[in-house]
Amino acid sequence: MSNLGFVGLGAMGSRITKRLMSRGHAVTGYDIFPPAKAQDLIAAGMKWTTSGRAVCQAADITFSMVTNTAALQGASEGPDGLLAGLGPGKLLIDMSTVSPAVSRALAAKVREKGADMIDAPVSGSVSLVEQGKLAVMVGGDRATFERAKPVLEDIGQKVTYVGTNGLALAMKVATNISVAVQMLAFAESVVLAEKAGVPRETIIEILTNSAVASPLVQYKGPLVLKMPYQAQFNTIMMQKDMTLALELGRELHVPLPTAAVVNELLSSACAQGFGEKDFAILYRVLAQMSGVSA
Amino acid sequence: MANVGFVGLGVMGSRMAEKLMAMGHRVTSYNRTREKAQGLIDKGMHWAGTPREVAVEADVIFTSISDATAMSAITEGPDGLLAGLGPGKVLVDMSTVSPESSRALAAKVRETGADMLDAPVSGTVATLLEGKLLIMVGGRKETFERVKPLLEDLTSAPVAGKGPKVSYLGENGMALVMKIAMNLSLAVQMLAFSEGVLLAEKSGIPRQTAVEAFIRSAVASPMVIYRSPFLTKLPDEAWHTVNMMQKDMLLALELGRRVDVPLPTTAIANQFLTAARGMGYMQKDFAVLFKVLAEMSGLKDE
Repeated sequence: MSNLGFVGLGAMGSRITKRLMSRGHAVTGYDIFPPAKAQDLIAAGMKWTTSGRAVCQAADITFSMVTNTAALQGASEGPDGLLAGLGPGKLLIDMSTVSPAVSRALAAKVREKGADMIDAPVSGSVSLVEQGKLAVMVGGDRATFERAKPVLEDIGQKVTYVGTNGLALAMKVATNISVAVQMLAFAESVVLAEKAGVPRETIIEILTNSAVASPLVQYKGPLVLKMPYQAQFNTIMMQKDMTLALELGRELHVPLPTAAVVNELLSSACAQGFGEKDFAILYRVLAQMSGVSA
Repeated sequence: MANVGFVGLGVMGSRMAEKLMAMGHRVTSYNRTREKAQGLIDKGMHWAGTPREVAVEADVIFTSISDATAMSAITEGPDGLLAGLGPGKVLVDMSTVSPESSRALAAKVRETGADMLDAPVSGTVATLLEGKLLIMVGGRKETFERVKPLLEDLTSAPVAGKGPKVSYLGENGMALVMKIAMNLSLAVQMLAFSEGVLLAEKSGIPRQTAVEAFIRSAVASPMVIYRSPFLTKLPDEAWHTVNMMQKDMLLALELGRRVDVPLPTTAIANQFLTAARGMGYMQKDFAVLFKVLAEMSGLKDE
């Protein structure tokens, strides 16, 4: 049993916290906007505190999982920030998807405190958290990774060391290009075949059993028949990831033609008010452009 | 045992003809160049001098050729397939051509009293050998039922197979529509996969580590898994060349214009296939898209 902290109790953070408690860990939690869900977590045994600093002071290992780079900077800086509560022997595990450069800069500041930090972005949707099937990629010092590994394995069985600080984020962002692009190409296939006369159900049946049937196509494919009420991964978050990829591509001089195209269609989805919808809504955007009712 | 004909013994065609022979069928064949057929002739395949002779000899005639122009060449004229077709015969065209040209050919075939199906396949040489080929079929349902056992022989696995691998899609041309719609994702997924690997690699992750992360991820389609070794070394014999892939993309873009469906990722992938041709990679497997993007990123391979 470890003495853990968790900052950022959103859709993923709250579920991971719950998972960690169910594996017998003590968790102290904080969120700048206390969600209603925090009450359930407190009822389940989570200790609530009043700042990121207080979480780091109370815990040996603190997780953070916030929406974007600005939120991570907000959570870490200042008198009540994470950095103020860190010290020798402590470990910060940041699970947010943020820019690798910003993550590396934060890791340097954490080390100045005598603590250490790893970036540990996850891949997989909320439903996989409860099943303990989340995949976790880790960037940072190898020895620190080994120390964090048992508790990460309590979150998901697939824990992979990618390299030095920031590299797990680079891998996550690189993978997510294909997540968005495969969805859009899948939508092109469905709308094209449908307008040419093949029934939508038949198309989905064929595609989800074809050479292009990645796990993503298999999960998301059926959503074009019926969009979920609650997004597994919404369009705004997906666009954030594409923006990170495009930024990294410019920085490293890697042209990203398909990422650029899909990003424009994500903009269109947001413009039409679908920002909070699952990014599978790309299908509806393309269907509307084609004059097909989705 | 059926009396089968086969016209077009390319990479896929020759292996399919061999599979039909292995399943006990009598196969009569024609190919533009006889040399490519010699290995199969030695194994007992009958050779015909013209496509017309194949149509005269066989009850069910398969065709597997590269494009619509080649299709006209083997069907039209005094030595063409149409000249040898007649009542009771079935032409099963496995080529990837436009749905419209396939429908036009089907109409001509019916004038001879025979019938025709479009039966494009999804899969590579590897999936064919593993018995995992998917055959989609468009045409009259009763004609489909008649040739279904033969198609199942083509998709049968070396060990007892699994899953439905012959799908009826609807009237003539519909299987081609589905094939074309599916293939656009092959090129697009390959290009997005290349973008991801290069982004990871230039960030400092070894290519092999990045590829392994991909094949364990949510985006690991069979396409990504099968072609992942090609990022390091392209196969000597292309599974699907850049030229062939571009032909498929053009069919998709043409269909998209015809039915008014914008295809943004297809259009982009198509431009990169043009770049691959420009760089001299037209006969390479389309996984060479990785190399194109790598060179554009300033990475000098090998």
